[in-house]
Amino acid sequence: MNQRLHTPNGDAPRDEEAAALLTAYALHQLGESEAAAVEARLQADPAAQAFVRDTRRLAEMVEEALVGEECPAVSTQLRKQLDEKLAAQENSPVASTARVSRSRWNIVASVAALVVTACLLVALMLPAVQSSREAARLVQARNDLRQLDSATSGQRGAPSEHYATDYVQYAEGDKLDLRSSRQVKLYNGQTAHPATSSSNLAPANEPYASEHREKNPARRFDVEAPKDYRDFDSGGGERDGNALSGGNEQYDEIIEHPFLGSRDYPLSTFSIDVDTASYANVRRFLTGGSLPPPSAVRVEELINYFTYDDPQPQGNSPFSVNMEVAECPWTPGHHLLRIGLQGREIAADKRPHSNLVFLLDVSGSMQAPNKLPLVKQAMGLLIRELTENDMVTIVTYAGSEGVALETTSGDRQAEILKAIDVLNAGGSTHGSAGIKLAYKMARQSFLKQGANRVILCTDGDFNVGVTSDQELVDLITHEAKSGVFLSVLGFGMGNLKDAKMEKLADHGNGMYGYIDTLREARKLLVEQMSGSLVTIAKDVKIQIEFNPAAVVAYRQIGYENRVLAAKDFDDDTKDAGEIGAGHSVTALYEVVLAGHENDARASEGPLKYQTRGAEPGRNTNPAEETTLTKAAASGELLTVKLRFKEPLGDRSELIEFPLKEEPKRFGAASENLRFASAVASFGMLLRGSEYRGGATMSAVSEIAGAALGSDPSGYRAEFVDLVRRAQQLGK
Amino acid sequence: MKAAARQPEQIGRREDVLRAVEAYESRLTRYALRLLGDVALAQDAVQHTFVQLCDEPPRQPDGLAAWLFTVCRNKAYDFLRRAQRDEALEGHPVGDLLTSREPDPAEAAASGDLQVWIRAQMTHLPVMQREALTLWSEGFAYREIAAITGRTEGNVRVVVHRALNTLRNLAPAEQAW
Repeated sequence: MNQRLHTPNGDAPRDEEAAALLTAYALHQLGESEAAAVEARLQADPAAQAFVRDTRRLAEMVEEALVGEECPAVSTQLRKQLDEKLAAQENSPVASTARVSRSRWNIVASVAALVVTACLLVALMLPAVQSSREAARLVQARNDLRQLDSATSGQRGAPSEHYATDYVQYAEGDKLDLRSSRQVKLYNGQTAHPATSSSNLAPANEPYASEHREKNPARRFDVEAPKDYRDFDSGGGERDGNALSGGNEQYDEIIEHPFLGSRDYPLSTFSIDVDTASYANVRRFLTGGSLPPPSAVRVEELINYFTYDDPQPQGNSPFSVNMEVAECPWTPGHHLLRIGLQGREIAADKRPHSNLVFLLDVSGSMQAPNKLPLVKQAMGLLIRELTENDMVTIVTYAGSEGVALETTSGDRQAEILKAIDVLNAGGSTHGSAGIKLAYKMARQSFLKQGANRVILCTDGDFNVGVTSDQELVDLITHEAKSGVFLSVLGFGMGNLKDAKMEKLADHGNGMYGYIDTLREARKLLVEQMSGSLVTIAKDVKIQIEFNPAAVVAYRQIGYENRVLAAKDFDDDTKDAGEIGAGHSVTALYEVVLAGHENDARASEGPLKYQTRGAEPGRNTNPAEETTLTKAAASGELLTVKLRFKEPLGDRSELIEFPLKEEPKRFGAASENLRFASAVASFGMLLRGSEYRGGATMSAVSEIAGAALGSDPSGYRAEFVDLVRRAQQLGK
Repeated sequence: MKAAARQPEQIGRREDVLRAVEAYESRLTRYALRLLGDVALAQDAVQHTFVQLCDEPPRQPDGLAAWLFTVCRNKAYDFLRRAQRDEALEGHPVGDLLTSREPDPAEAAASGDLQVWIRAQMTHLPVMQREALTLWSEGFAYREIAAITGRTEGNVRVVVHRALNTLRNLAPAEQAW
């Protein structure tokens, strides 16, 4: 023991370096020349010799101790997760070549403890991986295609195909870039480079009538996706633009809206979205020191995270509609259209009575400090706001479901808090049984005049019972018919099933928020409590009819998974988004304003600005197909149509607002528009969007910094801080 | 076409992944566990590593071990950063996460089991030293440790030395190294 006093292991850096050299020598880590030098020194230094000897003995002990440490049991979970991942991909229609029967896995899974079997299984599953990665993009594109097909079905052969083909190509990475940027150029070129654009425009519909239609579809996937995104968690590695998940986190691929000509596609129809989860999730990545995977960035959720000081609605309307047009900061010559819906605020003391059923995931995966413990803290915050007008029930689920707190009046806080306090995480995740029980409890205490809501707190990892997205969606859709609304609060990281949770909320007439900090819990549950808990209008749909005489082309920013078929706008059986008290919803369009265009194409429904001509064939002269109506000459840019239902109503109301406004210079636009544009720009940069134009993080930071407004809660200031982080990470 | 050309490679890779899971799962878990001190998180990190191996395998087949440890390490550090941030924000002590698993060092030393003692001491080393020592014990050369941890070889040299020295200096008096 005392030898160590004689060895050069003092505190001075140089001594330490010398000692470290000896240690390295002892561990055989030196190259020949360095080793020779050390050996020469050792000859004359018995203390150093002893040090080397001792170090070797110590090292041997350490190695034995470390390598000899028993490993945690080999995880069957790992194999299961890998399998699920592979099975999900393998189940997709395009990956059928590498199909392995799912039932076969189910049998095997029951004996998954047999590690060898599981290993073999993994091996069996693997061929699906490569092809299905690429295939996943196609699946998404096809889903969208299906949606769009139904949007355009029966009306016209050619246009729907055009749009659809375009849409598929949209998923194709490089090829697509080429194509869509060509479209943009086309519209730009209209004024800037008439020589080139005229030839492009000659067959008016050429931009949408893709020559790729003739190609063998299989060839589409020859093109490697652009590798322009840094892997967010493997340091220097690269990340495919089309990877669908970050680690075990699952995100649905987003395919951005392209520019559309308003002659051909005068209607833009979508469901509102008040979700904000994507922003909190993006913030988690950035503050954790990595860029988010592109698919985790849903631009509309970033924009809607913030409140905008639009005026309160007048009269009985549940919301006010506010529109503005100004120059687009990232693409010169383009303009931005902002449509803001401001939901009526309801003061906390005017809040209707509520029947709240908390459905808490207490499975093993919820153990981490930022999961169940944070859930408990978050609930604590909300519980303190409740009164005797509220009822609280707590249902938990893990391997099995159970009622942790029978329906209890909101003023018996000690009782409720105690029930929360004793919750512990452990076991598997039988989500579907919990969902059924929670809805059952909610129905038992249903308030006809109040807010009935299930609040699901989970990391979304349902691994027992019904686990497929579609089946869960069906279950929720069925349960939602009872008039009970759903809030989904996502917690945790590394295992977050983002796509699944968003789908559940959408189909359960609810909102999806992601809670990463207590601060976020306070924002969602306390500050916006009436909004999160009280729905003021449901199935809110927006349809914008662009006046082709004023708007040549448009591109909706975000809302990619909120597209509705034009005909679904008037269909009250089609579900759409909800808006809560005080919520605001903002939609942005990048538009190309111009004079007159010579192309035309039919569209859905009776049009205000043009009448539809004969059913257009693919090769007929477009000029004969449609003509503009008188309204087109009105100078109106567009008309916004809104449909919504009362919270418990079945029939929708329709309101319309035409927009006739001179576009403003960007600097003269409202803070609302400028800030929203900065957030949109930020999202597009994070997504690596091809439409980001000349935007840079520093421009975003500058624009946002100049549009902070009163920012009482500091959210906008926090945004500017996030932009700086992203800027540093992007370097 | 490309898809067809890929076929043979894929079959080779499938076996590679199978072998990798068998060969490295427990080693990676042990490594991640030393970094994180939490079995579930460690398994999450390992799972992520193999998912990554399926999705985006390393371009060179050599150095698979180093690649796996690198990916696993990055994930583990994500968790650590996250835990540290949570601590800062909400007061969940990271320390708990790291020390709760191991027996009390004094107790272990008293029991005379040197291996138990060393393992217990490991949890008290700074994460950098813990990690360097673990990687070394897994058979990585300094050069490889440097690559995995994103440090210089000279830095690894000092870190390993410090780790061993700390253990040496903490050892019970009757234990002579």
